[in-house]
Amino acid sequence: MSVGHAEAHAHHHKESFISKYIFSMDHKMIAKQYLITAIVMGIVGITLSALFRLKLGWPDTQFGILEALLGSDAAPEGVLDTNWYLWLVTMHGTIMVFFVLTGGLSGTFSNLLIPLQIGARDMASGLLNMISYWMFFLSCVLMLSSLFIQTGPASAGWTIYPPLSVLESLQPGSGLGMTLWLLSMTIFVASSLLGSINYIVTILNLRTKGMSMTRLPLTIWTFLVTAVVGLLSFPVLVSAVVLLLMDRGLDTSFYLSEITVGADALAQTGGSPVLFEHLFWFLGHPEVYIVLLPSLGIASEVISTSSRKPIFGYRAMIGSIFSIGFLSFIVWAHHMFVTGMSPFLGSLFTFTTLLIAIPSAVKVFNYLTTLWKGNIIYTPAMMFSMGLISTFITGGITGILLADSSLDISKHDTYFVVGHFHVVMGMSAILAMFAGIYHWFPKMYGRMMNRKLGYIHFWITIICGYGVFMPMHFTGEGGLPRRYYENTNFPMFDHFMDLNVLISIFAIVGVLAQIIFFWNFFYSAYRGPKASQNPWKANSLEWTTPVEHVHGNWPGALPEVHRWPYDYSKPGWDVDFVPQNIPLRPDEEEH
Amino acid sequence: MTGFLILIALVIGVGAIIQLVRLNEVASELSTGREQEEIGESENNILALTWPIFMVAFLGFMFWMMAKYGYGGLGPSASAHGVELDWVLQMNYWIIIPVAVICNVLLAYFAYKYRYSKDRKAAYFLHSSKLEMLWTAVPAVVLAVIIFMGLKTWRDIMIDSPNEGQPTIVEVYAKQFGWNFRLSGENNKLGQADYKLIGPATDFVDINGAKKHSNGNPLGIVTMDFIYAKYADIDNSLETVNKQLEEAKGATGEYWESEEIIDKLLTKKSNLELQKSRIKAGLELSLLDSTSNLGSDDIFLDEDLYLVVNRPVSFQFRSRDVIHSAWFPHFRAQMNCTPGTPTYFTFTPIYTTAEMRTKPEVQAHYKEINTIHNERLKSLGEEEEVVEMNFILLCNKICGAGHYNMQKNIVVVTEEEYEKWYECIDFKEANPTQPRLDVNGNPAVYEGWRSDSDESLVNHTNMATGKES
Ligand code: HEM
Ligand SMILES: [Cu+2]
Ligand SMILES: [Cu+2]
Repeated sequence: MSVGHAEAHAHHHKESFISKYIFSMDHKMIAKQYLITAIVMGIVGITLSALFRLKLGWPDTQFGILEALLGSDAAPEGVLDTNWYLWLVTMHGTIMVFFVLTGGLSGTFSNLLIPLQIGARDMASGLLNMISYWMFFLSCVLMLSSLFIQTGPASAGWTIYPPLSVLESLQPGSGLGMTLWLLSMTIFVASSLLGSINYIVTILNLRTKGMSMTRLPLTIWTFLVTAVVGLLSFPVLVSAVVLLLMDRGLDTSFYLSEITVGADALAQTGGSPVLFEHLFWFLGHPEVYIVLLPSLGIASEVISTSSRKPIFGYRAMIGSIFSIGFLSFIVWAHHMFVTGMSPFLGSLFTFTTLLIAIPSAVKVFNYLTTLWKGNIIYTPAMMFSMGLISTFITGGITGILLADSSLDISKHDTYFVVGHFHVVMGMSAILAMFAGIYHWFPKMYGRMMNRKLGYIHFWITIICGYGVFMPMHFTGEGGLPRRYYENTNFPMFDHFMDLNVLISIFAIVGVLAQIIFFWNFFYSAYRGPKASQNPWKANSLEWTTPVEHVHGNWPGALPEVHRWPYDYSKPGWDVDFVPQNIPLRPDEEEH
Repeated sequence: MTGFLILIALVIGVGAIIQLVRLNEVASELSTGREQEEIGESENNILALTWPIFMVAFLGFMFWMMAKYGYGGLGPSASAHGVELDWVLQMNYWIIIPVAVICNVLLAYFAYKYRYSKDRKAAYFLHSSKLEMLWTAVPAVVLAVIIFMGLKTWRDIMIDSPNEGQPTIVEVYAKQFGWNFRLSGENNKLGQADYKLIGPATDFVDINGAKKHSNGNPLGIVTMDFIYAKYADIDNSLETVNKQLEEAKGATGEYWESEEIIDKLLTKKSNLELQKSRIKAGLELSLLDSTSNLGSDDIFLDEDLYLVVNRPVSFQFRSRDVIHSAWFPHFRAQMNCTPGTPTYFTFTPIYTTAEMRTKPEVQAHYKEINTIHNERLKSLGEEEEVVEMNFILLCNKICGAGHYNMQKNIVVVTEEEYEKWYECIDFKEANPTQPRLDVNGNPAVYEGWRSDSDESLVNHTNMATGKES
C-alpha cells in the first residue's frame, strides 16, 4: 500500500456506527470481533464441560438444580440424561476445537498482528476479511441454535463418525442437530479459507520496506504456516461433510454398508465408514497444529520480550515450524491404528508420527535456552507462556506412547488420549490465547488489564488444568474408555471413583475461575487505566503505532525496518531493547 | 458427603471471586497504566519463586498419583502379546518420564534463577549449531530406539501371531448396545454372513419340507435354512402388502386409497421382491454350487464367551449398525467393529480366570474394589455383593446412548472345563435350525455352567448376563 493511501485515510469522513463497529473492514476491529465471539463461544463450551463433569464426578447424586435449569428432559430427577450427556461432550469438543481455538485464536491474533507486525495498513482485502468474520459469526449462530432444538444437537462425538452421525433412528442427535452441525462447519470452513488466503497474501505481499522474511517475528511465521496448513486441509473436511450430507439426504452410500436398523436391512450398501475416518483425520490431525502453531508463535514472542533476550535459534524455530507443518499432513492415520487397516500402513504412520517429536523437541529446547541467562520479567502474559512450555512438554511426551501403534492398541479411545490432547493442545492453546490477550490487550483496547488478577487467573487455570487432565492418564491406563456416561457399571473402575471426584472439583473450580478473567477483560476494556505506547518495551512494529487506533495503523508514513525483532539486550546498547524501526548504527552488525 | 464437597467448592469459589472483584475495583481506581505495566523487582521475585514451588507441587502430585493409581487395576497382561506390549510400554515410560521431569524442572529452575535484576543484562545468545545439532540428534536416536521397539512389537502382534499355531476362530458381533459371539463349530470355520438374512423370528419350511423355527438369525449367518427362513419372512410381508393392496381396491378394481399410500405399498412390494431375488441370485445359488456352506455348524451365543487358556484365538469382528470397538483391557487387545468391513485380531490367553484371581496384586486390588463398591451400594440402599475379577469386553467407540454399558465377560478356562461348557450350550438357542438332542432324544437345555473348581464364576456370569440389556 502506498503512502498516498494513508493520506486518503487521513481525510476520511467520520464513520457511521455500523461501518465502524459492525461491518468493519478494519483488521483491528475484526480481530476484536473474533475475540469477543470466541469468548462467548468459550463460555458456552466450558459451561457444557462443567455440566457433564457433574455427572462423571458424582454419578449417583441428584442435582435438583439441573432439572430446574435444564428441564426434566435433560435431567429427570436431577440425573443427567444419556443423550444429553453425549451431546454435551460432542458440542464441548466441537466448540472448543473449532470455534475457540481455531476461529478464535487465528481469527483474533492473525488479524490483529499480521498487518501491525509486518508494517501494513490493513489486510490485503478488507472486504474478504469482513466476509470471513461474518461467516464465522453465522456458523457460530447455527451451531448454537442447534442446542435448542427438540431432538438435540449433534451427539456423535466431535469426530462425527458415520453411521452414527447419519442415522437418526440410531441416535436422535443425528437428525436436525447433525444437519445444523454440518452446515455450520461448512460455513466455518469457508470462513477459515477466506481468512487463510488473506493472511497468506498479506504476509507475502504487504511487508513494509526492510521487512524481509527473515526479519519477521515468529508469530507471523506461525500464522503463515498455519494458514497454509488450513488452506490445504480444511477443504478435505468439506468434502467429507458433503459426502456425509449426501448419505443423509440423498440415499447415497459413501460411508454406509450392510446396516440393519431394527430388523430392516438398509438398502444403502458398499460404502465404508473408514473412508470418512481417513477424510476426517486428514483435516483432523493438521487441525491440532492449526491450533498449536499460532500458540507457539504467541509464546515465542512473549517469552523473548519478557526474558529481554533474543529467541534462541530463530532459524531453527522457523525450520521446525515448517517441518511440523509438513509432517502434520502425513500422520493422520495414527488416529486409526485399530480400525483394521493394513499393519504395514500402521508401521508407516508410527514412523512419521514419531518424526514429529523431533521438531517439537527442538522447540522445547530452544525455549528453555531462551530462558537460560535471560532477565525475566513476569508479566501475566509471560506466566501464561511459561505455562505453555510446561504443558507442551508434559502433553507432547505422552504422544510418544500413542504414536506407537502397538502401545496404542491399549490406549486408543481411553481417557489416556483425552488427557494427552487436552494437556498438549487444550491447555497449551488456551494458555497461549490468554497470553496473547494479556500481552496485546493494550494494543486492542488502549488500556491495561489488572495484573494481579492476571496472576491469580493464571495460577488457578494451570493448577486446575493439570488437576483435571493429569489424573485422566491414570484412569486411561486402567482401561477406562472415554465418552462413557457413567463408569459404575464396571466394578473394576470403582478404583477411580475418588479420582473422578477430584477431576470434577478441579474442573468446576477451573471453570468458575474464568469469571475472574471475564471480569478483568470487560472491566478493563472500558475502565482500565490507559496504556502507554509500548508497555512491555517490545521490539516489534505494532508498538510503534499510536495507542488510539487509526485507520491505516500509522498516521504518517509506514515505518521502515532495519533489524530483526529480537534485539533484546544487544551488546553496545544501553537500553535492553531496540525496536525494529531503529536504524543500525554505523558500526553495528545485524545480529 | 459429595454434595457437601461441591457446596464447599462453590462457596470458596464464589467467595474468592467476590473478594477479587472488590479488590480489583479498589486497585484499578488507584492505579495508572504505569502501575500495571511496571513490575517491581520484589514482586517479580515472588512471581519467580512461584515456579519452583509449583513444580514441586506438580511433580509431587504426579508421584502421589503414580503411587496410588499407578497400578491401574488391570493386573499383569492376560495375553501372550500383552506381556511384550507391557514391557515396551514400561521401557517407554522409563524414557519419557525422566525427560518430562527434567525439562519441567529446568523450566522452573531457569524461571527462578534468571528472574529480572536491574544490574544484569541478558545474554545476547542467538544460536549455536552445536547445541541445535545435539538436540536434534539425541531425540532422533532415542526415537529410533522407540520406533524400533514399537514396530517389532506391532509386527509380532499383527503379522506374526495370527499366523502361528492353529487358532480357534470366534466372531464378535457388535450392535447397539451389546455383544454377540459366534463359535465356528466343529469345522473351526465361520460360514458366510449377510446382513440381508437378518430378520424377525419366524416359522418356516426348509428345503426338504420340514417345519422349523428360526430365531431371526441375528448374525445373518448364511445357511440354506436361514435363507428359507428369510424367504418365509419376505413372503409373509409380501402377503400383508398384497392384502393391503387388495383392500385398497374398490369393486371396480380401481384404487380408492390416496396415491401416496398406494405408491408406498407398491414400492414396498417391489423392494421385497427385489430383496428376494437378490438373496436367490446372490446367496442361494452360490451356496448350492459351492463348498461355502460352512455356517451350518456355527453357534450363536448371547452370553459370556469361554476361551481355552494357552490356545490362540482369532477373532473376526463385525457390526450390525454403527462403529463399535471391541476392547479387552486385560488382554491388551482392541479392534474396531465396522459395519460392512470385517476386522481381525488374534491373541492367546495365558491365564485362566481362576489363576488370574489368585495373583497377589489382583487379590489386593479387588479387596479395595469390594470396599469401594459396597460402600457405594450401601449409600444407594442396595444389597451388598461380592465383586470378583473378570476379564471383560467393553465398547470403546462412541456408539449411542447405551455406549457406556456394553459388556460381556470373557471366561478363560482349562481344556476340560471348556469341553464341559461346550457340551452344555443350548443348541436350540445357539443354532435353532440344528437342535442338538440329549441322550433321551429331547432338545438339550443349557442350565448354566458349573465349574467344580470355582463356584463364583457361574454366579458372576449370570449376574453379568442379567445386566446385559
Ligand atoms: C510429540 C508429538 C505428538 C505425538 C507423537 C502425538 C500422537 C498422537 C496420537 C498417536 C494420537 C491418537 C491417539 C488415539 O486416538 O489413540 C493423538 C491424539 C491426539 N493428539 Fe497428539 N501427538 C503429539 C502432539 C500433539 C499436539 C502438539 C497436539 C495439539 C496441538 C495433539 C493433539 C491431539 C488430539 C486433539 C488428539 C485426539 C483426537 C481425538 O481422538 O479426539 N497432539 N496424538
Ligand atoms: Cu493426530
Ligand atoms: Cu458400542
